[in-house]
Amino acid sequence: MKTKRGFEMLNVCGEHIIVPAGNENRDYSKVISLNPTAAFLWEKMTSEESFTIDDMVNALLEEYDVEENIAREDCLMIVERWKEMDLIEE
Amino acid sequence: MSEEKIITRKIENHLFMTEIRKAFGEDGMKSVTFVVRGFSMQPFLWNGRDKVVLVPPRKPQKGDVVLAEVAKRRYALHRVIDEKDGIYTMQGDGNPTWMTEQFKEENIVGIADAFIRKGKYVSLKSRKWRWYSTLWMTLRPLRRIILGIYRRTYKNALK
Repeated sequence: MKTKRGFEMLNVCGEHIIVPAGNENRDYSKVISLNPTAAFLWEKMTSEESFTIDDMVNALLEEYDVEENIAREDCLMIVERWKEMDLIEE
Repeated sequence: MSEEKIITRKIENHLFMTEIRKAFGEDGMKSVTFVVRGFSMQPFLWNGRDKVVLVPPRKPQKGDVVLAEVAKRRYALHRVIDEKDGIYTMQGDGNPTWMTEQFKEENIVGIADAFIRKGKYVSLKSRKWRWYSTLWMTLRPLRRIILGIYRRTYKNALK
């Protein structure tokens, strides 16, 4: 899978949010907010041509002190959310 | 996105104003949209329900609705009612007529271009807004009475 193009991640008042890129209006009333882990993964995965759950798990293991099965669970959950929000494609 | 995953986050005013200035400045945005807070622009704008579309600062005209820093770290989105020697006076539609704020052009964070009221887009150039404005300003002497009735009718408007 890969992250869809046309989004940019911003830091607004300490929150990581994703907004459509190239807009001349910024709508703070409707933003997609990411927690720090999700923001970290989003940044990593956006720089890849495509990625798998394993890539995400490995990225987490490199950056955070976390057990693999927990990291995998989190990644599956995050991917689920991103699919719901239409941020990634196959 | 499913409904239950939409959460509302309140951001401290001064922090958010800094963000808006950055959006207009280095990010080059032509407008920003956000949900209004407070009750001072009732009956037109309701806390938490309505939104404002703000454009970058310019020289304001009487009747413009301006977001400005009116005292150190105190901000208001109100209607400009007067200007004298570069000092602007503004007032919330829902505030008593003796309650006004002063600001200078450099204190402006942005100027309202449109409102999104009950989900409907209302341009400040629209006939609807101009008609409402004229009516509201004409009724200014009766404001205390009208707001009193209004607030008794819509008690939840103040909650």
